[in-house]
Amino acid sequence: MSPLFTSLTLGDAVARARNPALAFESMWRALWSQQRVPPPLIELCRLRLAQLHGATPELEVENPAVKVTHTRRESVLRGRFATDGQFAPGEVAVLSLAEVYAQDPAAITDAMAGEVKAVYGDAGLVVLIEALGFIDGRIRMARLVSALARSGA
Amino acid sequence: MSSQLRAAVPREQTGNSIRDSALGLVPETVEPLIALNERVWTGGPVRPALLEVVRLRNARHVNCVYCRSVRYDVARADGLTEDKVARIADGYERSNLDLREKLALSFADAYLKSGGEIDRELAAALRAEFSPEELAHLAIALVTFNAASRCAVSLGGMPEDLPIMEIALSQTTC
Repeated sequence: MSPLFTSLTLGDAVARARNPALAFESMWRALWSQQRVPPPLIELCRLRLAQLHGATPELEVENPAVKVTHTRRESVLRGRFATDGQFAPGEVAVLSLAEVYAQDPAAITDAMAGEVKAVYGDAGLVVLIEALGFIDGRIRMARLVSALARSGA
Repeated sequence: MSSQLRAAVPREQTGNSIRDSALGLVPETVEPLIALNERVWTGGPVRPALLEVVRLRNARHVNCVYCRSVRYDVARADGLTEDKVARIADGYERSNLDLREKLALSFADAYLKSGGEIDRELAAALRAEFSPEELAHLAIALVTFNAASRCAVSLGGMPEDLPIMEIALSQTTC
């Protein structure tokens, strides 16, 4: 059964919480408007995390905050981003860290973090980790609230 | 898990434990995060003691040493005890926690262990016990707690162990 919500379309499900919801959406917007790590690269991380979660409906919604090219999107979703020349080394470092994060944040190595910092700095690493946390969380939350909504239908 | 901190902390310390961490390197995201933390604890319908039960379940799952050691003052003021914290361990279903606490923990486990998948029986039980506003608040709280724990683990510098310590909500809010 298809979910009613995705990480990008939590909308009504979130809004019911009122004050926490306003702050939750404000945090989400901040992650897409910061410029420490390019938002299109963050979007590619979102797509990869969704894929690793098996959350295919997430792949079908367009993020209004950013544009990514079809070529780069396909490179990430086919797992070729590290070798096909579409991405600069810093971008590969970000996407590689995102893959490990999705499986186990404790498995991130100093070397992986260092490769991200070499291009995006300490602040870039911080933003990336924050963004991955909220992306991963909203993918899970979308499943939860979709199931709850279906159960009340 | 790296024992080395992977990002510097801001030179200027403000007395806010979130802003004074590596997260403070990015003002454009740390301020919304501080505001979110405050709203989660004070702006929704779920009581602080129950939020703390869920936060500590998350901390156990992520194995964030910081998060496991902290107790929010507002949760203790709302009735959270160490005896109750001890019952948040695996097997809570058979403990004498009350129904709302057990259901909130099952909600957390669905998020943490099943990627958000939830069966019909649990969904129905949650809807019977919690209002839609409370469930939305619990979900936002879970995402916030989980993102924070995973952030702490990812950024390294985690000690092997820490004693239990109370933190004032005012140390983490605006």
